Amino acid sequence: MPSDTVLELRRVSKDFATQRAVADVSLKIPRGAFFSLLGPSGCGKTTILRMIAGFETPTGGEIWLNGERIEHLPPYQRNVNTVFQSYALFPHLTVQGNVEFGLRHKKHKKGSDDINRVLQVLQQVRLEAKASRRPFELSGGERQRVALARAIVLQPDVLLLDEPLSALDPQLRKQVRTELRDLQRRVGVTFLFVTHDQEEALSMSDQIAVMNGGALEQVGTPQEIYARPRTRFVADFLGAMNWIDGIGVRPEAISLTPQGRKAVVIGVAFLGSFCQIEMTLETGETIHAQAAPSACPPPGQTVYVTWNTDDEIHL
Amino acid sequence: MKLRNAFLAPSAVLMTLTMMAPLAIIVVYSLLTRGAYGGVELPWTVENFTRLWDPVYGAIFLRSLGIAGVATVLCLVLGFPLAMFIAGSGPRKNLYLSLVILPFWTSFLIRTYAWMFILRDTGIVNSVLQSLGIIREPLPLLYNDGAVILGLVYGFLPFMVLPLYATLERLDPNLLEASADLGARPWETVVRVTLPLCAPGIRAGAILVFVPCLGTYLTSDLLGGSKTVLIGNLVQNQFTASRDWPFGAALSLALMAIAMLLLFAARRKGEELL
Repeated sequence: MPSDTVLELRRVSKDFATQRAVADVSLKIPRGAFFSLLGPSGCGKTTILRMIAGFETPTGGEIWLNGERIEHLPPYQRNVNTVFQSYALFPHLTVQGNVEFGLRHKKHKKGSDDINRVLQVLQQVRLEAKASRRPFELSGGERQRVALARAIVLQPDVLLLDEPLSALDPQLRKQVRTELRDLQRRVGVTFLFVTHDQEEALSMSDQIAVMNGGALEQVGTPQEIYARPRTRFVADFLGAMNWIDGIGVRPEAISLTPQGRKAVVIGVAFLGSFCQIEMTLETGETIHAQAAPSACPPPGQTVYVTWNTDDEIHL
Repeated sequence: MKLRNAFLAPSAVLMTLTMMAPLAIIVVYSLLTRGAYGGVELPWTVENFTRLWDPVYGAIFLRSLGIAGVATVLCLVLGFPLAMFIAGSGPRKNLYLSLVILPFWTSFLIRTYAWMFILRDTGIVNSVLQSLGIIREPLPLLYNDGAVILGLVYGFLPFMVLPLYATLERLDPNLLEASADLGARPWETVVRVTLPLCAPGIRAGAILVFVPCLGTYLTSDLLGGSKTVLIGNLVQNQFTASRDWPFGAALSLALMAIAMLLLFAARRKGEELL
């Protein structure tokens, strides 16, 4: 295994009683990367995370962490840590007690600078003032940062994050995205981030693996995956996609021009900085386009649309 | 509100008649003089309470506290793994719970007699061990403190298991995964996560076991023989053989006071009583 790969899955599968949750997934996670597993609910992304953490045992395949096979090890012997979707903070311990929890165990090599490390990590997540609070006294965002601090303080080879933003309200979510990304850059820990939210994955990740039905659809940078989706599922799942004569064109690639394909506007939605226009082509296909609010045609009007052939997605 | 009061009335009347009235009678008795053939007579006196300071009774109180304490700790030690097992046994947990409650279908008295048949010199244990040639003389299994503690643990174990099960069942499984994820071995997770989060259940179970064990007289009478006198037996004696009702009343009030003191101490630390 090349040294720049910290975690590798080799043909990993997981069968539950009635269904195959993960089918033959092979993945390489580069060291220090912000790597996202993206897919709809039930696509197997959380099961992959749980197999890496050690809560589930793969039915087949191998998991390698830092050149060591780990799929047979119990969770407490793996140098990975998890930020749970519900955060799973210990309610009987203070913020500091939660952060110190893992430092007492063998998984982590004991050092005299433990106290300093706890304080440093609490500062990194801006919770030093709340060290003696209990989890129930904290806001959702603060709880999420405790869950992060508790894991980061152990300096895991990979930090596993299971939809850590889904419990936050939408306003906070966008702000936390940036914070999380900054934190990852600062501490340099490899993040494996599980989400069903394509916007989250696109905005935060160095690399994204898109999953569907237990299998891997495509792995690449956010730009690659958005601009050159390799399957119809990926094309549809990331952003909106128009299908015109079997060719994919993103709404933002379509312009309204004096000449081109004829379409009738059936709906217009004002979204602030732009308008979302819904149209029907003569073939009966419904497509979407975006236009500046000042250049927005009223419903019922006949318009002409064109696009650059470079923006076409052929699958 | 009025409707609620109407539904509360029957239990309020019942509680008054069966709890408060007898308690008032006991208080009155404890301040009177013993009659020659049982019962109580005037004049009023506090002598029954001053007699409580006799070291003989102090020793019996201490023994009772000790035996009830040992029985409670044993119930906890035996009941906790059992409750954990039941809480973690998925769809079969209802079966296991009903097995825990099954002994209640028979009278406690009869079950205690059954232990006499098991433990006595010619009982099942001794005769099996003798016929196997493991022992020659029967082991002294009955009529000692050990037999009393065994009987109490047997009788009150369900009262420990049920509240423990109730708290364990509500425990978020993510917390146990988080503990393992942060490096805790299974036993460390039990000590650092499961036990502290079960504190309310442990407290409830300990109270439910300790208080009745403290006042027991049946188990100590049948399994302890004449050597094991606990407060419960002492009280019972005053009302029967000794025919000293006022002193029996004073003793039972002292017992109640101790039990309530301990309850209060347990409550001070936690949020709620049960």
